[in-house]
Amino acid sequence: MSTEFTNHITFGTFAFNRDSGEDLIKTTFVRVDDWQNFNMNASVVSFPSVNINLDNIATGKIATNVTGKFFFQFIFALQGGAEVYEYQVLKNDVVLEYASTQFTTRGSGVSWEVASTFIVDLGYNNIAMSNSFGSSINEIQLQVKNTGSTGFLALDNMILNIMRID
Amino acid sequence: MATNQFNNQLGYYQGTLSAPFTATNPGAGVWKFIEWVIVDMPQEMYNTSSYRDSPEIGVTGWWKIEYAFTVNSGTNNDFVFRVDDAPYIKWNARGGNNWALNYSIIKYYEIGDRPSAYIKNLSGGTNSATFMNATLNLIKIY
Repeated sequence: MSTEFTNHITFGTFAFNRDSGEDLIKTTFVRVDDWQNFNMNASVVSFPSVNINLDNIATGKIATNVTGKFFFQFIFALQGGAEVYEYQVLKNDVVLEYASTQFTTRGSGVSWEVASTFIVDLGYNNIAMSNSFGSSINEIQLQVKNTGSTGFLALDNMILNIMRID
Repeated sequence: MATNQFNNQLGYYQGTLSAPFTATNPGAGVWKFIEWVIVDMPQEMYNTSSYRDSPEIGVTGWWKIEYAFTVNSGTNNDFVFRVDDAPYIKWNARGGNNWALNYSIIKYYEIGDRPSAYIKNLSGGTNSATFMNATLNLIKIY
């Protein structure tokens, strides 16, 4: 719920269209079944961006300082080995169990599309409540793992859609 | 007229592909306009006119446009799909299999604009791609 005094327009589309010649954006796995921050440190284009912060996208983080319920949509083209991968979503370092996704890739430079959506409540968080202050800044973070091997998972293409819906 | 929490006029639309549609790729590096026929779902349609090969926007503002589709192309080439001049999605078409794909962006449209879908064979081949099914959703968000 909100009032007319607390509404903020917040939405964004972010894209990485890798043209030929550009490097894949790789997340490396040293250990099997080990979560790593998803590297999305690509030449991301905002199309548009209102109140969304991608300063820490190299560690898979998306931030906003506007509270409310948010819709997230990830559309990736990924390259990896012939393995089972998973990605999970964290809200302020806590895993959102309902937002996890499992997928396989094929190896040999083949791009696979992986897409998911979820809705999350980004209210005032209590990080600083011991100081009697809450924070309106929330961070959503993506992590990935390879369940059967090491190596890397590479980002070939992506579109992120984010919008505050309430 | 329906409005959202910001007292802005709403708009939304849903349609589905009437029959399988084959986009014949004209050659390397060329975006092919997809002249498919989408059938309206009238009970769900607001503020957009009837669909020919592109929906017509009935309310100026920021819209979320989304296509979900299955596509079949008997080749190992990379294909890309986009709306207008927006960023694209990419997939690797594999010998005769149907692939379920998703495309969505948020974009500003004015009354009378017609968001149009395009496909390109990024690998430069001339193979065609057949859309087996497609669903289109348009939601005005602001």
